[in-house]
Amino acid sequence: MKTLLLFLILLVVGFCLSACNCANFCAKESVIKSTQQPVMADHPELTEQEQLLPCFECHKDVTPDIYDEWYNSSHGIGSVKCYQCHGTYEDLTKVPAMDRCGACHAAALDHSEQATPCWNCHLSHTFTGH
Amino acid sequence: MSVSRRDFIKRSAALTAASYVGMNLPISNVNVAKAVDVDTWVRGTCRLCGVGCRLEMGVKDGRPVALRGVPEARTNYGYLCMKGMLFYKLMRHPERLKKPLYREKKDQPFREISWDAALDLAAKGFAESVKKYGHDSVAYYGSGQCLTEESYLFQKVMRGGLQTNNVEGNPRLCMASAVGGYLTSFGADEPIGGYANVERSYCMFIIGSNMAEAHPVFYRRVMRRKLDNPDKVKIINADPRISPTSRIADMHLQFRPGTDMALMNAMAYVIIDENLYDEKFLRDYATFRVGKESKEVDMEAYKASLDEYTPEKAARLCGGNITAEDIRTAARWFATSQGTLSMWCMGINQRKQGVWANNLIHNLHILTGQLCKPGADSLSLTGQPNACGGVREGGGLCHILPGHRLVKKGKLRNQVEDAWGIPRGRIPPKPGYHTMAMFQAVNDKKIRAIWINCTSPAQSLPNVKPYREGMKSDDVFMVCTDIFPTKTTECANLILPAAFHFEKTGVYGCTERRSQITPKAVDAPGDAMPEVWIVREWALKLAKELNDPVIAQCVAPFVGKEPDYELPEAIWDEYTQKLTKHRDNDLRGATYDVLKSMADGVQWPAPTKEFALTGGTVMKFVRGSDPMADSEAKDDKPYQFYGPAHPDKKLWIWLRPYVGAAEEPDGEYPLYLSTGRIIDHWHTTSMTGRVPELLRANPYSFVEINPKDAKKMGVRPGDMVEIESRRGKVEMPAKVVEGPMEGMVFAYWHDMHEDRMINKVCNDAYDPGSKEPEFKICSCRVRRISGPKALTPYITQLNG
Repeated sequence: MKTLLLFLILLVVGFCLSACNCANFCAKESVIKSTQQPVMADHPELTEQEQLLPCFECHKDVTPDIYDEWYNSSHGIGSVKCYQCHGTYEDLTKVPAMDRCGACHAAALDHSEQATPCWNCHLSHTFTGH
Repeated sequence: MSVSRRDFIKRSAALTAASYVGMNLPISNVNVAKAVDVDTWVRGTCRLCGVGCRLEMGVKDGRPVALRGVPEARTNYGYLCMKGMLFYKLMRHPERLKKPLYREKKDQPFREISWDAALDLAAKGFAESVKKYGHDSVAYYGSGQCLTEESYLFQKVMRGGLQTNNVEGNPRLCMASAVGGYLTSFGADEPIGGYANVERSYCMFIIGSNMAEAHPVFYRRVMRRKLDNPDKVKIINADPRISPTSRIADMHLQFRPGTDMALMNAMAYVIIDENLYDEKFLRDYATFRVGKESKEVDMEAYKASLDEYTPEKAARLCGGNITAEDIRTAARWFATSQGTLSMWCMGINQRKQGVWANNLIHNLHILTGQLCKPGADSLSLTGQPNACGGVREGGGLCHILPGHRLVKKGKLRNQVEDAWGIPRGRIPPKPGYHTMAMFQAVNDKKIRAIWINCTSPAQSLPNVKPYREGMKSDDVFMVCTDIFPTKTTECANLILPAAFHFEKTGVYGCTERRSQITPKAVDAPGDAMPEVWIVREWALKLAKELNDPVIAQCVAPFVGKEPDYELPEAIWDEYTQKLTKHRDNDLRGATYDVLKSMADGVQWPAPTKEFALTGGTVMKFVRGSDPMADSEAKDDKPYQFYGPAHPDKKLWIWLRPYVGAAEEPDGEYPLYLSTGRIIDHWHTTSMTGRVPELLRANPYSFVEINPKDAKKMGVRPGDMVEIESRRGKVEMPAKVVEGPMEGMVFAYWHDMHEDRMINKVCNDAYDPGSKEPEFKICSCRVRRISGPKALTPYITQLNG
């Protein structure tokens, strides 16, 4: 039963991620600056102790595909961790703010189209090329 | 550790679907701002490890609000690790020390006092000790994180003013064996090449270093080189522990702790046996040496010394997963690649035989001529941001004066005395106490006043407990300059609040002989002041207390200068123009104006401004790259090894047998214990522990145990275990992982909680040459004490 539940979760996650990428790509012309909203509200509530676990401790089970993509990416091999892009419990975001990318990729941002989020070309979590 | 992952998944199931539906946001909800909203970006250098990443601090309304990398910097090309991205957050932390604090007795609470009163007390404390117990009863213990100007001025006042060479610093705990290795093998301290060799290297030999965590941004370059050239570039990772660094390795040589000396001798055996050595390079540039007297021997003697290290014998000695064929393959890759680059760090340096282990790496490079050409170098990675620049070059250890001068040489002491305008003979001829001897002297009440600057020996010394007891004694007057309360400020009489990075101006010199400036960008909080101001004002009061005008003379050139820029610039100018002139670290061209104009500073030697503006010397000793290779040339050969320690101007291959650790496992303590750094934290967590993201990422130390050992001990993941050695015991959660080899455990050392402070367990035996302690190897026993337990992160507060 637990396996089935996990399978259903993965199915939903996989579908939604595909939709996310498509929506990002299709709508790139209409980007306007906006304020990023923290998403803690729809993340399961965590106790103080649970907040001391690295994200991947749970996410390698909850979102194993994403975990594997990250782990095998240059970010994973180079130990760039979840919180560096997504923030932590005070400022957690599902879709990272692009200024976070700028901490390391300032030059790339300068050369990119203003309206295009990084992950339209460098796919989320795999960070493969264009 | 009490969370059940299964429960979490169950609880999150319903929310997860919604959560990822939520990811399907219209793009207009994405923040596409390319940079944080700031008033200005101020360019400087990272405060943390020894890589020297260039970065910019974003300042808004006078407050630090962001950090980002500098894309054109040749150190990091814009990349930062999590510590480099986030350290601005600690600058306005409410626990910053903002006022001078004092207590007469160490069981009293601290009370705020004025700067004037604080400096009076500091001067009186040191003066009284000198009057009662003599010059060598006072000491300074600094840090590889101080600015060069700070280390230089402190040592100047101690040596020229207080007439003692009791000047030490925490680089003794991390880099001293590398210094010893470079001096004895190459005749000159610090690497020949630098980071630029990574992109030209075809074989990288990473030994005793988990650079993926300890030097993550430099590791990124190594990783990128390998990922972009998976077939052309070979990576050999030699380490008793499989670490994140091992992920890019073609070959992992997992040896029993300490047996790397046999491994490297066996690689040399193969190189000679299979005629893979560079005969011309050896003939032109090398000699063979043995023993304390550095006696010269011939190659046959060297060959004979390697007879004990056939690959078969070495493989047996090394244990682990190493076969004789692995050793042969590694030796062939090393010798025959177009450019071989070795990199190592604490696994080699923090050893009873640290200098010898360094020599054995250099031996391989000299034998094969893998030096001075693109992609080839023997590169010691530096742990701290200014261990090289401030301490190794600026005279921050008890046996060295500024400009790589030895204390024991009268001519060199006189050069320094003349440059300072103080009477000859003022600097004592005898080196002071090295670090472990210094804190033993505190225990023995031989040192009665000590100034600890920007470091926390009460947590970072090996076998720390007895030394901490000495520091806590009321028999020693202790001054600490720092930005936060630490385990060491708990032992202080007087705490002086210091300005932090970007709150003052100064220079850091990183691993690759590169000096880089960081200017003041924001005001320090409260009454915190730059250390250079503190030392100057203290010295002036000290001169009055001791009625000694020479002490005042040490700071006379700096009197009246404002502390944020003019003062450090004047100190830097004195140091570089007077004391590096014609030395191998000649920095005369690297003035503040030149450094400010460069994206990434200057690599020495850089004798002129014109040359410094090109970036300086990429490859030392090579004509056409290093101007001193021409000015110091003794013949017409393309490489000129002009280092001050080798009169024959040659590279020395050393006959160094394998010698085990000071303490090997036995029936009572059957396991090896090793310790190391984790990526999210810096040293003792007094800084990174106060950044929520970093603290949470690794809130406490844990110990890695091989699954086979865990099974024998009945330890399951997350269980609490006790680690005990002859010196002490701690308890922490277990991580059961194929990291350390069977028979070895590995603990992270950043945790300052008394129960988990692993340095209570580590061995304080030290290398007889470098005096660097053997943090990396001791014997221990481990037992399960309970199942998983909820733990609370701990960062010390003022008054404990």
